[in-house]
Amino acid sequence: MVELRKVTKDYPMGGGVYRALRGVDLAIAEGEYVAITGPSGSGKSTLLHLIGALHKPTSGQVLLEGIDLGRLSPEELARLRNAKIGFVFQQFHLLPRLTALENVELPMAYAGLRPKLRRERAQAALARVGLLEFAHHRPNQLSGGQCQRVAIARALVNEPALILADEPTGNLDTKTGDEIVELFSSLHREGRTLVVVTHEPEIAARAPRVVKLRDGRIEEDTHGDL
Amino acid sequence: MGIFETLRTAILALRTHKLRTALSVLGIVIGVGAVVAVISLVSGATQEVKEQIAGLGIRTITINIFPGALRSAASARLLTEELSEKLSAAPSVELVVPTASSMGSTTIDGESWSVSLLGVTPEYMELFDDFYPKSGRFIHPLDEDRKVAVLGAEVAADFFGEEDPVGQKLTLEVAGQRVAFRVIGVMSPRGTVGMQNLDDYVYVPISTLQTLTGSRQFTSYIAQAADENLVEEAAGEIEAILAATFPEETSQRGIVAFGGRGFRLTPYSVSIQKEMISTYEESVSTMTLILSSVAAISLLVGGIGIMNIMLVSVVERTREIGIRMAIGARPRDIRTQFLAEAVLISLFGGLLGLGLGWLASFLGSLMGGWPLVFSGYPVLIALGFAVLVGVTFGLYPAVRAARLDPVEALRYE
Ligand SMILES: Nc1ncnc2c1ncn2[C@@H]1O[C@H](COP(=O)(O)OP(=O)(O)OP(=O)(O)O)[C@@H](O)[C@H]1O
Ligand SMILES: [Mg+2]
Repeated sequence: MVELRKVTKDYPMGGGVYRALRGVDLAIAEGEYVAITGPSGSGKSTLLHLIGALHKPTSGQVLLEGIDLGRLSPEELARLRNAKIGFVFQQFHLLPRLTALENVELPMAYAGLRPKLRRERAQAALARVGLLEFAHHRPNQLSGGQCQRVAIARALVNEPALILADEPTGNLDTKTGDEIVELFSSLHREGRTLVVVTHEPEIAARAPRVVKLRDGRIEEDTHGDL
Repeated sequence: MGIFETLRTAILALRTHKLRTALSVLGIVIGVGAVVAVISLVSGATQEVKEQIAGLGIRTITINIFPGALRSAASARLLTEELSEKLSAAPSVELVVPTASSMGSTTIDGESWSVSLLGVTPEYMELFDDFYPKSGRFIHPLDEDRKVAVLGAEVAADFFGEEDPVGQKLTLEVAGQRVAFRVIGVMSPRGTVGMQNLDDYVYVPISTLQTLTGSRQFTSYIAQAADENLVEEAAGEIEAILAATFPEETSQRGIVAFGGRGFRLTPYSVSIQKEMISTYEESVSTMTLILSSVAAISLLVGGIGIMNIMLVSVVERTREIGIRMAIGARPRDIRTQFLAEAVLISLFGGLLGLGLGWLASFLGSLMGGWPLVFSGYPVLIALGFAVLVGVTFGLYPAVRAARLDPVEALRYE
């Protein structure tokens, strides 16, 4: 499903560059649930953005279902993100002016789906995360946990090959966070492929496979059920 | 994303900043308003000029002699048919028609009405296109000194209604005498030509009017040049003749269309249609130039205003752009979205400008006296300009939005 080969990523910094990833090899199979952990600044988010086609690697290759992301144009990367990737962020990243339902519909709008079909599928996705009755609330009328569940519904709605989450519980209290983690586990049981970045060991422990990063390298990979 | 989706998104975004949006369109409003005003001014004024040319003819030369301004009685005496003959003898002049005017009054059912009498010669009718007797006939050379009258269309309708006046008597009070005129003809409606309403006159033989008013002085002559290209030459010849006739007087060409009042002190004025028209056209083109400059500057300012507001909007919504990109908006989708916003803003300004332009041209036509010409195409031009400005000045902010790096945009606080 996902394969990284000798991936490095440099960020421009001052006069020179900062190497955030220093040669990462990683393969994730379909249906896997992988947690990525490591200290702050170790490159977890950078890695997730590379897998999610938001960034291109400085060197090495990122292959998604065999497609080399480095060769794609910005337009093609956007298409690919739309069809194959569902993102969940620490800050939820919902559009404040849109209702929960409209937020969930948005990826399908960019996919060019008919409005009627969009509405049906968005409602189904909201039902899946248990928020159908909040469909017409705006983000500022929802709790943090509810916002994150709307974001998860949005990530699910285009039936992506891969769901990527960056610190999804970072802005939530422990109890609400647990509910979100439970939601991920149930998605995993449904056969979806998940990659979750977290620096909390308890949350990482819920995933069958844990990849530990340190200073831009993989320090440990439990390989879980592989 | 489809076009309706894009527009809906744009409207939603603009609605959150109503005041800012409204203020940013001011330049466009003024610019488009000026464009609309130019169009309607030019078409109204052009129509007016065309009517003038069509009415009196480009070959027409108007000569006014002001007896009151003459210094000697000797000069005054010269103002006779002799002068008319002298003028028609000029090589570039084809026709000279003397006219004299006087006011009269009549009483109908105990009510007093004032009447404008115009003493003319038979050739007067030839000066105008589409001016002919609808009933009866016009003044004939044999009518000299006879008390006959030809009625303008409005006078006939006022005094005789549906009835045919030909053969009837019209009693008028002229220069203190009661005179019974026999109506010999009624003219076709012709309307206003130059400064005078042809339908509003009672036409009588000039000799008859002069006898009644006790004066043989012609107040004005209407001459026609032999050819359209000879108008200025003919005017020159006429002035030379007048200067030779009144050697001690100074001459000055006047423009009667703009009042003529200023020229009362000179004994005569010679004005040509061409001058009137070109003066008219000059003032129209001056106004066109001014309004066009206002339009161009305002559209530029308006465009920059839109660019500014859109750049601010792009920065403010960096995070939103990042989110949209993360969930699959292509750079092209982002560009279209911001472009749609810019065009909507300027279309909104364009519509307001259209209203302003119409208002301005309405007021302009009231003050300038030209007809108000309404047509659909200023609407297209106004909206066309608005879209053009929106696209031109919205493109750079839109492209900037589309070029944002998704990760950087997401991290933007
Ligand atoms: N756009 C950037 N420009 C410069 N340096 C960056 C940029 N993004 C990340 N970095 C640097 O790269 C390194 C890795 O960043 P990354 O965000 O991947 O870390 P992380 O593991 O997600 O950390 P955290 O747990 O704090 O989120 C950090 O040292 C960071 O400062
Ligand atoms: Mg991070």
